[in-house]
Amino acid sequence: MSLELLGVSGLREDPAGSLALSIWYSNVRVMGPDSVPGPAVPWRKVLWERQPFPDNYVDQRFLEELRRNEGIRQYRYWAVVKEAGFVGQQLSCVAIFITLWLYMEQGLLPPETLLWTSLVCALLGYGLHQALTSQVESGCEPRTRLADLQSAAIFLSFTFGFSPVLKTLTESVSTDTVYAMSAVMLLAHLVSFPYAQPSPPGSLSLNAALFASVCLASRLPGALHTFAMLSCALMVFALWPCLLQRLRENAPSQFMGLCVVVCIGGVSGLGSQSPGGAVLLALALGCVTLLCPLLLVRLQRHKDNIQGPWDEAEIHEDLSHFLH
Amino acid sequence: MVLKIFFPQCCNRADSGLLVGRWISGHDSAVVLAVIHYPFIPGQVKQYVQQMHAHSGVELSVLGSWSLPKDGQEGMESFLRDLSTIFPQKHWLQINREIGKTGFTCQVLNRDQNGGAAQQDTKKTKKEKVEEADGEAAGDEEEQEVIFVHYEQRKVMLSQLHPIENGVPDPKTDPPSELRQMFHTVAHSQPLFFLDKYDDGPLKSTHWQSEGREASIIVELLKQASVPLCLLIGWLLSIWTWICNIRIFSLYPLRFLSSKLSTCVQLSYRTEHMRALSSPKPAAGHTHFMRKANIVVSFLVDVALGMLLISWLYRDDHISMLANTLVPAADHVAKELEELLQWLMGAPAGLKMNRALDQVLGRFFLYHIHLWISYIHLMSPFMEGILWYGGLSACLGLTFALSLLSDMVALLTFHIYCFYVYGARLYCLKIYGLSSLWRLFRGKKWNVLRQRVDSCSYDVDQLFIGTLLFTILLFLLPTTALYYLVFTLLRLVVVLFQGVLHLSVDFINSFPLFAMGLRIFRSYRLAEGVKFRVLCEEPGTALHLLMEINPLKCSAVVQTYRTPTYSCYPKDSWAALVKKLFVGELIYPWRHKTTKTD
Repeated sequence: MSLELLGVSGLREDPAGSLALSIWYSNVRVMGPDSVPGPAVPWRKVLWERQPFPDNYVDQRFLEELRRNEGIRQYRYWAVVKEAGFVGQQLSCVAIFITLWLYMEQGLLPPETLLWTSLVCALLGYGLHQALTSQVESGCEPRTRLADLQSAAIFLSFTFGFSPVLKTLTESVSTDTVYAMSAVMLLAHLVSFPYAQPSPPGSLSLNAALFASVCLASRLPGALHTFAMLSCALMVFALWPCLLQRLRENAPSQFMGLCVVVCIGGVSGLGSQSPGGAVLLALALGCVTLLCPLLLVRLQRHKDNIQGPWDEAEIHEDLSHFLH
Repeated sequence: MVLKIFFPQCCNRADSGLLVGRWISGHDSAVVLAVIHYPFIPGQVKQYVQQMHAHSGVELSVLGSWSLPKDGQEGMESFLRDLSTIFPQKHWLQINREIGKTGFTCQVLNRDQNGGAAQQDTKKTKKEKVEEADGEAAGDEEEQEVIFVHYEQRKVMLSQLHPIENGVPDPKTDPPSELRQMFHTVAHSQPLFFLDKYDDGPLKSTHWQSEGREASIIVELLKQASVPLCLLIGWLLSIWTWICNIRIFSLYPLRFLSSKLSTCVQLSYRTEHMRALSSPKPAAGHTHFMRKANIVVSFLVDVALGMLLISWLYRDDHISMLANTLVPAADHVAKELEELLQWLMGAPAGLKMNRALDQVLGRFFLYHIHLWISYIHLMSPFMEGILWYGGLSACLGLTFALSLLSDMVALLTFHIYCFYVYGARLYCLKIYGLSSLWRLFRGKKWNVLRQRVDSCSYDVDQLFIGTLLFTILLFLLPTTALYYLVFTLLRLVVVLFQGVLHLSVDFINSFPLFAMGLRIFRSYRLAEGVKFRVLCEEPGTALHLLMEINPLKCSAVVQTYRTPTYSCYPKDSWAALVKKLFVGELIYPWRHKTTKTD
């Protein structure tokens, strides 16, 4: 049937075909469906009317509404590297934590030293945090100093109270199991960390990190060690990201510098304990901060998203006027 | 139109006379109950029939005539036809039988509205209707087939058709089935069967008892003795009820205790049974009678078994032997438990137990066992006395002895029950806490309003403390779970033993021994239905069937006549039980149905 041939040839979009199409279209106009001269019937894209075309007929307006790669952004390499630096920073944080634990386990770092250092760092960080906050206009519910003090008191008392219990928790579990569990949990922490906005900490990431730190801390020789380790973990995983958030908002360049410092600190700390680990960490950091952005930018070229009227409808207008 | 006539077998050879019986309403059937012989005065017959109707409540009437001509009796045909005018009926049956032939012939005279009689003869009948070209029926008469169903009158009179329908049937619904009406008629026509051949009245009749009324002396004596016995039981019950209702016994702790002890529960059930027996009126209805009979028989069997137990127990000093073995047995159990706890406090089966918690729990339970052993040793001098007086309770019945045994077992293993409750509560708390904290770990929360899990943003301190607690609970889980498992197993063993005892008590209480005996020895008394056998199928005579009673199946007997007390059966299915065990809920696997509403 001549009409079906029309259907097939209409798929091409080049102008020559469309010209041919219009010629055929005009033919159809004259000839009608049964090759009989009849009235002109333009094709409409509806199925509820009987039309003299087969159901799968399309005309030259086919795929007119196709949109390709609509929301694509153009990434620039160094901007992505800057963002990826945060991920690397978090990785190095974890490495620093592990380094501290290694030192404490080998008895090279007394728990009192760690405690006092943590306290001093916490106070410094708190001061910095308050200084940065006062610059920003805080509109919604600022936490008072008293609330902060209360939180700190709760943390310290709970940890101190439970540390003898926590110490005996993994006594009967084998070392390999403990290491494996901690590794899995730290990995979960890294994967689920809210890199976009670290200030209210994500539940899973914080809990995984704390679980891993409890597992590791219970391997240490004394209850005070456990307490010191847990306080350190709290600082590194719960309080440090809040400070980073403030820094990122207010002083981006310093934030970048800090990330680099942390990365270097992580690699060197790990290196003092095991060179192989340091090498691995450096490789990982390199991959994350330099290689992955490169891949991202390069692979943008192969992106091929299509959108069209077949997508799910999104409501753009304000429907509240229906409520009245 | 088929007319069924139920004819008693005892009247097969009766002398000629009038048929007395009942037309079954709603069906084309008639039940013949008796034959009244010649000579008679029709007025006296009518009076007698009315008297019987008033006495028994069954709609008796004269159905027709029966003729079995002996040698030399002839010419009855016109006489018989004239009889139909004396007794006005809608249908009048004339049944003839000749000596030497097995079949009957029947002629049905119908009165239409004008009062004239039209005669319809029977046709030869087979199972299917056969149209005959040269039938004797003329013109517009309908064909009337007659089937004679022979039944054994005494058996049908004593039998009860199942399922039993109690109460007055609603006249608006369909009338009860033909069979049911027939059984009802025969059973309620007992006044008709009191006239036997030794009576000097004006009428002579033939029925199953016409050779002479039978009675058994034992049954009569029992019937006479039952009234004072019932009065005695009623008086004893009233005293017992008065004692039970003294105010001091309705205080809360005593009432709670008495609802838990199975001896008290058994006492209350027996009281109920006695109350059912103690009314001096005879039983109204078949069900009531069967229940009373079952209660009496099961009580007697119970007491007999109890006496047997007593005779064994008090002979040859068995009691002191039992008492002497009881205390060492309890000691032995306690020692085994101690060894078990010591094993748990070590590293049982290589499991990873938290040493500190292990020691705490183990020491706690060991102290309990020590307390218990001291208690047992304190009680040991009194043990023999307790057993001696406790054994006397078996004279009330074996069920009491078993209930007492069950209670004693419960008391002696009370410490196992306590351990089980401690372990289960601890475990349940742990599981509950773990599930809630696991949700916190993932950042979710249980929405009580919507009964689902929602996401929730927690505070840092909440997260911190939640994670700490989660870790602690998780690592202490194996220890608690092991203690819970061990004590649950022990508790289940005890529960199983108690369950066996309760089931046997329940069996003795509720099994309908009287009904089973009736089913085995007098199976016609409990009828499920009837079956028919062809007696005679000769051409020229009507079809004769013999109706035999189909007795009720044994399982149906048990189901219908079980005394509804103390049903003790598992409360949960297996899946629910396993789920409860897993979560740590306390299980009480046997449910007792109480007679009062909860």
